[in-house]
Amino acid sequence: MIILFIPIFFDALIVSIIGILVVFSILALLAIILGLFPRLIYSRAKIVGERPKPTTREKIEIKIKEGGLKPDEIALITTAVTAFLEYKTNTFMKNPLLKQLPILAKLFPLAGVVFKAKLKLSLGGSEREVEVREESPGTYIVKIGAKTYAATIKPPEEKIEIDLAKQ
Amino acid sequence: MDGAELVQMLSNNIGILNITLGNIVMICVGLLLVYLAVKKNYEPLILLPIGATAILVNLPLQTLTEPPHGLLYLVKTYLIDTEVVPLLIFLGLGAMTDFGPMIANPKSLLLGAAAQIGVFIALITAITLGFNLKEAASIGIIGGADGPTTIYLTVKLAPHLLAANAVAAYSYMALVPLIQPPVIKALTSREERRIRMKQLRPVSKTEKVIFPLVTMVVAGFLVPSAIPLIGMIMIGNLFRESGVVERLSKAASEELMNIVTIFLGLGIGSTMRAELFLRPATLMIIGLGALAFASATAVGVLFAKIMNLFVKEKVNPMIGAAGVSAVPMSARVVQKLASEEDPGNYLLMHAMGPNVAGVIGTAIVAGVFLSLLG
Repeated sequence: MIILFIPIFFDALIVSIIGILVVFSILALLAIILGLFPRLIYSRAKIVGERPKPTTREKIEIKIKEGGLKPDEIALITTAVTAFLEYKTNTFMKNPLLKQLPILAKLFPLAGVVFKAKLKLSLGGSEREVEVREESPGTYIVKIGAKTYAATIKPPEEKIEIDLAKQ
Repeated sequence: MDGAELVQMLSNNIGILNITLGNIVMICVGLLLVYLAVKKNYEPLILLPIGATAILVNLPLQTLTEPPHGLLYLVKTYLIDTEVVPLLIFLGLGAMTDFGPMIANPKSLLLGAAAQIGVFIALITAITLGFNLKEAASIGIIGGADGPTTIYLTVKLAPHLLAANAVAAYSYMALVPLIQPPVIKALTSREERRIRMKQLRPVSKTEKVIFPLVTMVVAGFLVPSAIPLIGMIMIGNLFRESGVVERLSKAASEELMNIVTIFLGLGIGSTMRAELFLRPATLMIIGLGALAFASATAVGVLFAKIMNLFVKEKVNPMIGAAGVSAVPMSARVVQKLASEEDPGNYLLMHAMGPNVAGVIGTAIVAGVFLSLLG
């Protein structure tokens, strides 16, 4: 009786193997095409210059050195630092001298001038007030409510490393 | 006419005198389907007409299913057997489906593919129970959790199993909230069920318009026998996403869908006559249907767990269970389980990706079966 089953069982096995291969191949091919969609569709807009230049916010890559932070904390810290940098750059650019010679800005910390800002950030629908202070070039202290965090930016990769979970 | 002839004539024309035990059983089955639809709200749009029609066709001496002019005979012969209704349902389904979550997360297509393995597990099990290959394929496709595809394939490969397969497919689709959670919980840890996923990127109209055209062409080039199903769902979807034929989109997703659903219910219900339905094979199909659903769910979850070994951004393995294409029930089941573990975890849209991918996957599997066995 079992022997009678064998040829049909093998037919079923072959049909199954072909079926699984075909369904995975086609859906994987579609997945690849869908993965390429954003590049294929939006590259033209980039070429003709319809899309604005990437801002600091887009260029900075986040790297978390120590765990323990919640995703919303990481998002808030990263947003705070990038917003602080944009704010600082915009402020400097208003000064004609610094606009001509931006390298002069690097002398401020040596002269004991600390750049700090209070920012209001809207994240996920709720508005939060954060305080960012430039401790030394590339190192930022971020105060969110009662908690304080330290974030560093390492040039030239432009990566933010949140290296203290909480202070 | 003497007295004996009169009694004979009366007995030939009074229904209750001609009822069989099979008729009574099937009337009870019909009542059960009506109860599930009305009281439990299980797939009422399809189970209610099927159940009511099952009661109707088991009333003795009825002529609705009699050729050449019985209404239900005409519906079944010209709308179900010709596959007009399942294909038009796919058109409406396309007009109702948002493929956005799948386009935003293309990996979900692989989860949709993985869940189809359940179809093949059921197929091989059906073979070992003594069904032939065509019958086993039409039973296995129940695991795809797609009613119209099951009907489409069964009509082509094993029309004598139409009633049992269709009832099993729609009943189990209704029972997804009962079948899937134990399987998902058995295969995932609490920590895995609590995994949060990154918000999906927005999908532009351009992408949504190009997608159905690309899918039609890709599927058409590789599995031509899947073109009727894939083609109809994609045309319906193009109506929806193009934004320029709102009337057609609305007609396909509402008026046409409602009309063909009525015909589908009448057509399938008309096949539930005792002499066609009450067979040992039906019981086996009901059992195999449960196996197909459970195994498709299990394989989807396991595949998502395997995927997590290779991807940077972890996926919640529960969304693999939504690869069975019971849209949107299985995605809702995933969301419900996610909320139970972590009320702030929103997985519905993530689960919709594999869910709609499962529809395409099941149609492709049906196409493969038709190519190899049809």
